[in-house]
Amino acid sequence: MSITFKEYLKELKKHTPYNFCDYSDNSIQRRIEKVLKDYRIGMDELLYKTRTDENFVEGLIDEITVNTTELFRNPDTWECLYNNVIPQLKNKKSINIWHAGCSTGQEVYSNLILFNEHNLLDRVKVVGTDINQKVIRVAKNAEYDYSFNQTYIKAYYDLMNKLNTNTNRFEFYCDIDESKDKFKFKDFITEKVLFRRHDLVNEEIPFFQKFDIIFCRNVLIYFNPDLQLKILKKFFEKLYDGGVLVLGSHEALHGFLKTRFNKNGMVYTKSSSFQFKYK
Amino acid sequence: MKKIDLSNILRKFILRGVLMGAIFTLLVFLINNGSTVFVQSNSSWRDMLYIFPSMWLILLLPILGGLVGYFAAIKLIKIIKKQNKYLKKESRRSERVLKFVNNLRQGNLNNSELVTEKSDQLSNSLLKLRDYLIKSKKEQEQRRIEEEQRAWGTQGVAQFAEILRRNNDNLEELSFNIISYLVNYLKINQGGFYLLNRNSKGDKFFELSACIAFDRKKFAEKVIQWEEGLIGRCAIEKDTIYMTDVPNDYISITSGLGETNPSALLIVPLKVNDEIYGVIELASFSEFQPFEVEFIEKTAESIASTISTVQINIQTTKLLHETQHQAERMSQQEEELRQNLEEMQATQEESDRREVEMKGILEAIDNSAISCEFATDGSLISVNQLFLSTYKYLPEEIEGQNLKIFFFQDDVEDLNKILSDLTIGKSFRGRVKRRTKLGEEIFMLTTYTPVIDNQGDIVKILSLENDITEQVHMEDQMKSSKEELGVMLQQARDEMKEQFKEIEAVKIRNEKTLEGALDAIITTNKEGTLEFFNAAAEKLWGYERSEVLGQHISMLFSEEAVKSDQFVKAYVTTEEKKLVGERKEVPIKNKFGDEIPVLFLLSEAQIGEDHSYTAFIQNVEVELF
Repeated sequence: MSITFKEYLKELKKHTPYNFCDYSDNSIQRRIEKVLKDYRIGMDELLYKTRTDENFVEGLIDEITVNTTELFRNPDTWECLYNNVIPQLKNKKSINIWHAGCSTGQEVYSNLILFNEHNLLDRVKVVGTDINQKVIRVAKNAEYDYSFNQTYIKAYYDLMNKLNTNTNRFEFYCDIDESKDKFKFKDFITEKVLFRRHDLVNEEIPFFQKFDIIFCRNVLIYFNPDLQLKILKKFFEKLYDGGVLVLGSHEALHGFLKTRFNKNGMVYTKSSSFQFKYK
Repeated sequence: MKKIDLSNILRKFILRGVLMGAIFTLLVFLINNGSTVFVQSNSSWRDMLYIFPSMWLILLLPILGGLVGYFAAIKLIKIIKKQNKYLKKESRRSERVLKFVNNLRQGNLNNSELVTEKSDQLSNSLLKLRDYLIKSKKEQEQRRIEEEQRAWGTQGVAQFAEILRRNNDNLEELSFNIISYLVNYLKINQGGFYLLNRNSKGDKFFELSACIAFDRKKFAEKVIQWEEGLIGRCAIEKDTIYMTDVPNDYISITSGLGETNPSALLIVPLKVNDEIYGVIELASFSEFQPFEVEFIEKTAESIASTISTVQINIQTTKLLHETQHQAERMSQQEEELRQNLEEMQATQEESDRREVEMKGILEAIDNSAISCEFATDGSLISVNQLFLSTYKYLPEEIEGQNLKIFFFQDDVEDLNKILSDLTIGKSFRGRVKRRTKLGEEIFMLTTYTPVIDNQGDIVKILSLENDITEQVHMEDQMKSSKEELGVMLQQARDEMKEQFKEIEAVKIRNEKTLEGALDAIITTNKEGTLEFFNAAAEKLWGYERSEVLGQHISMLFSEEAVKSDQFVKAYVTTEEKKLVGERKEVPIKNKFGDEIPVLFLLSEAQIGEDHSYTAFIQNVEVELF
């Protein structure tokens, strides 16, 4: 191999708007190796294509980024949101929610379902962002494979039966077309969300308002610790006092940020005391 | 003419008879006259009559001849008449035969009739000829109709084949084309095409996939269960049902003008190889001809086989699509799985990173804190080096031991309570007394934290301790010195209390004295607030003590006095220097507003920052008495 993947990432940063330099070494290396294998090309050719072919780069982003998401992933987290977080937002006039790295949007819709079960749907304003244009399109379309998602639909019922007995059928939220093996979230859900492409790492946060909840699940694991800290600081600044940060079930805060949030079950609540002391 | 002829004949015959008779008579006379005998006799003819009386008979001969002629004529006439009649008859017959033959020639078979006699062979054979002609014409007609029907059927089948060939991927379109073609071709009024379908449960039902002139509302409801109604019967029996007596509410043909019941209903199963694919229902105002039924039945088989083909095609296409879809999905899922794997790996690495951090923390704890792990029943699982050195045990001595060996006998109860708290997940934190191997008493700042796994079960309990024995000892020392101090303080406090009591007694005594004095005595603080007001003062001013205490001194003087009198002014205001130790006569104002002149003696007492002024007042008027 003529150049290392780190050198390649520098080149990528130079020639494209994408900067993966601060991604976790192991992970990004595996992803690039995967791309090389899939395309049956070498590092040199990859570099050449990166420099010359814009479409290739878009495809590459799709290949490199990991878009794993599912409906009601890690039920504990949703249970905590339903029981502890959402009820505290009941008195707010508008509830701002940001899904950073929303991927294909399942989590966005999972969350909206919970808000609807609390009858707060008319107050929420949700934005979903991801670096990958393709998954944003999927998320906007809100249509998913039916049979493939059966287990998650079951997860929905399991969760709902645990939370309260008087729950809506899944069909209340979706149109299910078994012949095409698809289900699509209904408009009253999808119209609540604004999806847009956004690179969390390199671009400024494009929202002026602060948020009550920021979801950033299983995104930070792809970053190295410094970048993680940088992103977490951004989240911290964009949260209201008492706002909630939802991370993946295996992610945790570290560094000084640990003291700026209170761990509250599965979620992190921005502590307001810090503000008074240090600002 | 003929009559004239006939009378002529009669006349001629009579004439000829008479003539012949006359001639014969004449001859007889002549002969007789010439006879030698007679001649010799010389007799006249008259004599002859006489000689031969029979001559009278001869004389009658002309008459006789006439009669004979007459009868002969009559006879002849009769014959002639008869002949004439025959001839006439014969000619009439010829005429009829001619007409009949002409009719035959013109093909006018049914209108021609011939009256014949049995014996008339010509006519009979002519009639036979006619019958033959009629028969052969009928046969020809029959053949022609059959030919036409055959051509109609063949044409229909050919056109039909075209339709069947054209639509081989869409059953709805196909069935509509079929039924519309049938309705048009047969010139009937209404048609419905029922396809046999299976629902997801595998139950068979008929679906009205296409129709002509069906009522729209009916169309929506037209799903018919297998075995239901005529359609079902037709499918089960696999045989055509033809009805000319249609129940009123069974079906109706709706047009712009109204609706009517059809007069004939034909239900044909679409079957091939004894397998039913659907049913066609046709309704018409006119009855169906057998050849039409035959045609429909024949086409039904083609339809069935086409449907079977189309269904197989559709099935194949669907399978193909599904396979493609499956393949796509497989690759998509493969990618998803790969991404999942990546995510798991990344998570793993993130955990590893944190594990390193944790390891650091744990090491630091290990180095700084006395730690051990034990099960919920108190049996030890592991300890660190610091633990051993603190409790002065050797590692092998500690293995398998229970936590209670570090407790003094009296504290074992505490351990049980702590353990039961830990079992319900409560952690423990506190300062405790522990026992070393040598029986020494050491003090620990201890935390016991249950380690809980994902299922919520307690795996073990982590104990972190700090040796605070020295601290405790120091504290003890400090405590004892603090206690000494406390005793001293208490003594001092008690002394103070005694003194206070004395002071209080003196104060009370003084106040009693002042109270009992004849002079009115009032005390104010430096703000001019009244603090003491004795009985004589009450009497002097007329105020109750409760009315004035806490009030400002100025209420005891008139406003004029406050303004004009220097002493009073100084006395009631805080700023000005008061005139102390000098007896002064000043006016006061009592409760009822009267001004009374009194003698005022002001004395000042200062305790620390606090000033108080005591005034001794004597009533001037009293002195006068």
